[in-house]
Amino acid sequence: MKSLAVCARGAKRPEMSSKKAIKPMTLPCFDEMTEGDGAARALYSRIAKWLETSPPGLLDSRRQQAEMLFRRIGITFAVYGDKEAAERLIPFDIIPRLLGHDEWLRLEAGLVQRVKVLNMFLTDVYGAQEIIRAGVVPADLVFRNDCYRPEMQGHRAPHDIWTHIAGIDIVRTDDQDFYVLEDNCRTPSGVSYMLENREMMIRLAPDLFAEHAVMPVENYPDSLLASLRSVAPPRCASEPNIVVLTPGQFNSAYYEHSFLADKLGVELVEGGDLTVKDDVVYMRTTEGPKRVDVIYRRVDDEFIDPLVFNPDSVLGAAGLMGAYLSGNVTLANAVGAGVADDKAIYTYMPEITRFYLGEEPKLKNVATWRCREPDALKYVLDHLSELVVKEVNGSGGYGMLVGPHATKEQIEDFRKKLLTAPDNFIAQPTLSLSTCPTSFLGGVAPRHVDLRPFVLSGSDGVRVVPGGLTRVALKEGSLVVNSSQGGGTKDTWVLETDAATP
Amino acid sequence: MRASVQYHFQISYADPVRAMNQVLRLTPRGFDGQEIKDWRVDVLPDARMRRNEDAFGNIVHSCSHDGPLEQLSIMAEGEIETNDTAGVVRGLPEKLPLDVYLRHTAATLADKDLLAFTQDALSRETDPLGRMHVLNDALHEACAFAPGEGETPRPAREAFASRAGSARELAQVFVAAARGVDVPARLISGFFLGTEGVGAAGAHHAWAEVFVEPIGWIGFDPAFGCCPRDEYLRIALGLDFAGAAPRRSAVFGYAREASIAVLKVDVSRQASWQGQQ
Repeated sequence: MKSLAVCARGAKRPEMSSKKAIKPMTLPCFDEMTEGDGAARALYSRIAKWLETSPPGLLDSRRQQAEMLFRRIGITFAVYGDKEAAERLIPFDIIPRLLGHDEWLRLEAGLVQRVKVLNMFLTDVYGAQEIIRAGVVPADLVFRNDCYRPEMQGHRAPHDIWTHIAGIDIVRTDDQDFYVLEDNCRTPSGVSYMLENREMMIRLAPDLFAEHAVMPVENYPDSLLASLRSVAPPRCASEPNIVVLTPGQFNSAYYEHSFLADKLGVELVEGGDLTVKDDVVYMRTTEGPKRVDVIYRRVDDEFIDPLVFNPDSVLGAAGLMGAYLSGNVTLANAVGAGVADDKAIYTYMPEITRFYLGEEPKLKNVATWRCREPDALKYVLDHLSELVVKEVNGSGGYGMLVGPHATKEQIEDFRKKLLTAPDNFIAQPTLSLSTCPTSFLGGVAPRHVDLRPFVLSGSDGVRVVPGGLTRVALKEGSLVVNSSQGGGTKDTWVLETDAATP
Repeated sequence: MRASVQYHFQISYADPVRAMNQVLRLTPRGFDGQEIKDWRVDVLPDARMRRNEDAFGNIVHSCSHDGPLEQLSIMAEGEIETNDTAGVVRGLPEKLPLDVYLRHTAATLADKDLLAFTQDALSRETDPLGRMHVLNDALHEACAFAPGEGETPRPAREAFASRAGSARELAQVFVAAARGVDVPARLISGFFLGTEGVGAAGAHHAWAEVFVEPIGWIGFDPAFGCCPRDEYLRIALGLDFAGAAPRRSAVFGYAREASIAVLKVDVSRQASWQGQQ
């Protein structure tokens, strides 16, 4: 999973005591459950009542039950660089996060617009390059980007869809605006948690669930299947053969790959199960080779074809790119889609939206300093202790500095990094992220959250399942919600009404 | 020079392979410095050959073979005429933005040593074209040319650290060095057709091209320490050797592969001279 890296409003001035910087929770931020005066918002009225009236110990016992169930299902993820606990459970929080119907409609419209623009951008970058010629996005940011694939230049993705499955990371700072923290156009993960969390909630808090008119997320696999079917090569048989391609069981998201294949009712394959002959992809079956039409691949670009990319890769299939470029198989997501979710490109999204649609972006961007610009770099260097600095190509929250939480040494380290390669970094202000009530041993307290909704694009339109994966920073005051950095998840309830009480 | 070129690549597998896919970049394109009068690429055993153009503008043949396959032959042959353009490459369709040729790949990433060497070599030359000549001379001086065009090249930093390399390795070093000082650069794979003057000709050769305003793309050969002349048949380009490689293949499973490459060049240099006069 990629990073959530905006930070709460922390130290305003460098001389402010570090204690305060570490406890930004003491500063006001939007709590999604309560109004300023501490009373519950109408949306959360039933949740508030449930929390009030639950017998002591109920939340603890439910949490233990959840953990036991998750272990039994085997839903774990691998932490890179953590030898002690190679496989971990992502902690699940029993208190759901709620969105009213009106809030969701606004968010959904913004997501649809965002993903439309991302696909238009990719079509343009690999095609006519008008946005670069118009001077909206600098050429070097695109063509020297690690995720740009020159091999795709001049190629048109089927139906001009490059990011069939996008995960757009959203944060809030008040009850109005939604900010995009990060676009994920390659292989966003986490949707299995969205689905499992819902099942878990229905099981552990059936009454609470029944009291709310929650919009379903269970149809996500159907929507995904419909989207994948819609982009099948035109020449393929009436019922396209779809597969999920996984790098294998050692991948951190392997559970999700097998989960999705199962829910979609399609085969889960590894590179070794695929062969390519004369630009046609086949999978091995007990009845002999069977033609493959659409591959939902969870293998990164560089590993999908040793004849074109990394020659040592065994995770893909030799000849796959040939089959893809000649239109005999569709890959989702398209090769090279990553150039659109780069953190440097992200900063141009408002301009990119205006360029293609002539409309204002419905979702806001977090204000961002591009350290490649000298003025911005100077500002960032002068305000390191207040800012969040991110590596442009980093993911998973590894290559970043959260100024208000960093030690002096960490800040000086980053200063050196910034001066050596300013192009590699962007910086963002410390936003005061919204919080949701979260249970932990012995109590309930607000914790910072983000949301990753999953946006599906097919030839027949854009689909968004109401909800997404809410990630929560379990440590008090922490703003890093990455599962690899100690974050947890919650079920996200989008209500059919604007408030909980009819 | 006008020549009839015959290239023959013979592969044998220690154990028969079950299936194989390959892509071949063995078809030269015409430009101001070379005219391709007739050219064909073939494989034996017979396979369905597909001819495509890749994003870089290379002509790529690809084919699949069913096993059991013990032996495989690849033939590329034709009639060509080359002219000495002092390395300048004009008249090719350029399909990619220049920025692409500033990308670093794993094989063409200059390390501190190579960067320091490059900056030092270039410190007294300011003319953009002059700088590239200086760089080529400096690399030619510093690194021994050790022909070995059958091997997978080491990354530029490794080859440079050993101060020796095959043509493809030295070309990658040149590309890495040029990009290291923000000059767009690419790797060229081709044939060296001449046998006179510059040591034994291998079948394969490789060199670099850099983009210098206002001239455009110009070739430099750090192995021979010169710019490509009419003895060079330019075939394919890439960001590094892997992107321009004459052949990339993958077999099902693992198979040890032995290969021999033979290049026959029937030159009629005089005829060409007469033609020019």
